[in-house]
Amino acid sequence: MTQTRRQFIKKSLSLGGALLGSSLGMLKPLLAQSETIWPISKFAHLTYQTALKRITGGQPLIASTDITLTIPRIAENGALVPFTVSSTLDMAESVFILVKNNPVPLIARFTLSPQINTQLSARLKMAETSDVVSIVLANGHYYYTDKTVKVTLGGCGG
Amino acid sequence: MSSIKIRTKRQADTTQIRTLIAHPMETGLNTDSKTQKNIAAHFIQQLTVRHNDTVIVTTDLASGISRNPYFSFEMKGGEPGDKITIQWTDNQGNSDSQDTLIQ
Repeated sequence: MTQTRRQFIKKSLSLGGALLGSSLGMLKPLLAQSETIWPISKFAHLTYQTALKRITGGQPLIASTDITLTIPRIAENGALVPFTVSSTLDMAESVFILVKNNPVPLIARFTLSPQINTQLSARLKMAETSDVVSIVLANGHYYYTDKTVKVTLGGCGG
Repeated sequence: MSSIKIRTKRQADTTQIRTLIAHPMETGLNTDSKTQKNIAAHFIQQLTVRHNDTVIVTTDLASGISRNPYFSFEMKGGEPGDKITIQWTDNQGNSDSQDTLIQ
């Protein structure tokens, strides 16, 4: 089989393109998969501001009085700070909890089915005195409320 | 023995689901005081709550949740004999699941 230089280049280009296309196609489901395994992996080790941007996707955060964040004002032990988030917002889909000054600000994301009332509690760790922010996604808008918690003994180190 | 304890409590028209999980929840930022070595991160990444095999809550967690995590949720409805299943997976690939019937 004789092949001119021109033909060869043409062939290799199209082959390369096909390979590139397929590898891009492969990459997408791979990314999607890792997100389904641990969707907040992309938030881990981000600063507060960047994590916030990733959560809202650039949408504005609306301060809301319909969310109640119950958390002690002074936490003696930062390793164990109990909190409760409750909200009267309709159609709440997700609840995010962030601690502004923690090494990993994002604490948790709760994805709620309509069968669940927005009333949940858990316990978090705090490295130092910081604002604790709870964000509720309802009807496609991000509402938030925050509270400052004073920590007398840090919980993330030693 | 399972690492998960579940308590349910029926109220007027809701059911409270509380759970306590035995897990170290290491952040990966601490050092062992004896060996001066870094303690590897070991924390629950995902926790799902099912009511009669329908997912009602999915929780994606980071290392900022306290050791031996406690969670409480409030579910609408709930009848005696309904099954509540709680399952977790951590970043080292371990997982556990436990179910209980609403009293």
